[in-house]
Amino acid sequence: MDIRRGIAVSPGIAIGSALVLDTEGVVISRRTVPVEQLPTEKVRLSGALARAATEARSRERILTEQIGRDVGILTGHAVMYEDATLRRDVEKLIDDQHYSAEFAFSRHIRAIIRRFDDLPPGHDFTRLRADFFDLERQVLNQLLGITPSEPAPLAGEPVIILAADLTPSETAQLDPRTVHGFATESGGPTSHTAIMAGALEIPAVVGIGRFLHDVSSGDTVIVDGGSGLLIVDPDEATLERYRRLRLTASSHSVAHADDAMRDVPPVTRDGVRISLLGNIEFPSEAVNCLERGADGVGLYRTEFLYVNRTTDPTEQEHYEAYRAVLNALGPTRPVVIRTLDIGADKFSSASAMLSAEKNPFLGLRSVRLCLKNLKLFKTQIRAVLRAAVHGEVRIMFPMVTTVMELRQCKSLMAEVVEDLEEAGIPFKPRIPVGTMIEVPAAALMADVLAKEVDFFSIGTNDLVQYTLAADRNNENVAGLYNPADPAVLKLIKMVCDAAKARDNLTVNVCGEMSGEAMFIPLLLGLGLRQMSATPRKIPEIKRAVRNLTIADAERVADTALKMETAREVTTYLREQQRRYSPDAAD
Amino acid sequence: MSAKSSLRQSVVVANPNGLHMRPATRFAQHARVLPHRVTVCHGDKCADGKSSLDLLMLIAMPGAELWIEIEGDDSSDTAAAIRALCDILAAPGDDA
Repeated sequence: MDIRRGIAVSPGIAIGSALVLDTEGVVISRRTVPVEQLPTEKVRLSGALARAATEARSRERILTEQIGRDVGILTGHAVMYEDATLRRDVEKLIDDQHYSAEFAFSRHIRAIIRRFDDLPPGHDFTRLRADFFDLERQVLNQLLGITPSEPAPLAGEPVIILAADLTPSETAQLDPRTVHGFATESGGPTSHTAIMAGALEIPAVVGIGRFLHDVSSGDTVIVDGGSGLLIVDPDEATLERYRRLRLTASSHSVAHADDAMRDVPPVTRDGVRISLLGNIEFPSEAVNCLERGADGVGLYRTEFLYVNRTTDPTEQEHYEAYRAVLNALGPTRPVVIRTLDIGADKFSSASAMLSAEKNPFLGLRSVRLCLKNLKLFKTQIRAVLRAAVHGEVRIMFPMVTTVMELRQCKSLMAEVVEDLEEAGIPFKPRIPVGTMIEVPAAALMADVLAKEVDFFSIGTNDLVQYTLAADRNNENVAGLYNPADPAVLKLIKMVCDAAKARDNLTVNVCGEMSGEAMFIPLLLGLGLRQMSATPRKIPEIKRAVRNLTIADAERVADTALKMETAREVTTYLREQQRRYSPDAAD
Repeated sequence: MSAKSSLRQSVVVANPNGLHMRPATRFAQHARVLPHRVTVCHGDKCADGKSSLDLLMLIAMPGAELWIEIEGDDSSDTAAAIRALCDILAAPGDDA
């Protein structure tokens, strides 16, 4: 058994026979042609480009239908095949050098790729290089009449593709019915291939480093897309463990059970009601929360209002976006609106405010940015208070680091209240105010922050990143990023304890941790009674909640808190999950 | 005879990956349907705005300042056209 660690880019478990993809390029035999054949070569080139464009568009269309949204990468390729500059440059090589269409095209694309390679370091062109290699391969296939090699499934068995790298076209061709997973030597979390794998919901691990020479087609392999592991030739115990995990994760078998979960309340076996809320990004997702049986919206991200435009959103635009969600949820279900939570680099009107930051994650972002741009901030707060007339609105400030920031936010709210009163505009003067706890300083000072707010919401993604000082997207340190790390657990416990001491202040957890069933016993045991996750995950969390008693959960939390490493905690929590939710694994 | 009208405007690339495949594609697709001539310059390098390859070869990193110049006859709405093109480059992208 051989376990390789890579970057987890698309969750899920895949078990199957390895299919090692040939990584050799296409061999071009004819380099030059007689002068009289040059017009023919140019016609062949045009034809190949046109066919490649048609094929790219039709693959994009199929892909869009499969995943229900536009990925756009293959459209980009199609537009490139139709590019007048590209064709003119290659035609010039044919005319001047008497190259064959194949050789001219290949030469030209390689020259382009070399230009990326020659650039000074500082920016990553891996993705563009992969795009151009893909363009080369597709056009050569057209010219040479090669039909793209379909990964041949081995006798109907599910296969797992192993390759040095996959081009976007190759990834798009993978059929989730036969290709159950893939693992590549290169690639990063933001590569096209990773994005497509996520969209196609194929478990995938990339950036593993050299491994292909140690595995051959037909070997049994496991891709653990959630943990970023590739396991070659697993032993029987590992295989058995993953078979059970796969059943748990299999969305197909769970879909049915999800429906059954919608109308039952999230109550523990000993009768404690837990509040389950949905995280949403766009107003249109509000209905997803209801369909999955959520109690409300625990995190309404508002960044979409700011990005992809050149001016700041108006108060009315904010108001309408909030109204839409309140209309969908009705007057009594809670909706927690989080104020702007991005860096200045992410939207144009604020980007003029500062020169490029060396370390944006420790820079001017979220509430820090808002407190420097009061006009922007007040506009949003005004809209929130006005919308609050129509429902159970709560406001939440992200990335709060010190109590002073929180006090500034509150005094700003008070100013907005006065303004609205003076203007005679209908609004709700008093709505619950909360703070995100996602900076370790805030967790450490939770007892002080608790005096200022009506609720806490622990943002685990940033809390983990800032606590362990590790960027999960950096392949060199991603292994450090782990919500199960004892340091993270201790901080969450501090926050829960501080809240408990303050008249049982409500604590919510949003972030990926609360969306993973494995963490539910721990979170309940730490004292959490509210969780917020992506709507898709709600039925699974509800099921986990309904399998537990508070005493079980407290015992799990006590044991986990005594552990010394993230690995111990993870192993223990998985064991407990199997123990309390055996139905999920059958 | 119709007079020529041209407009120039600068824009800062907001996409955290720079002017990569997707924004270049969007830009070229948009520029191709315009009746105008569209030129994009980065320092002293200039690209045909209707060619995504040309645009990629500007190697414009995040934060790079680009100049968009469009030329059309007087009857065409040059101002609206250049605004739409600027918006594409100023967009922070959907895949950051």
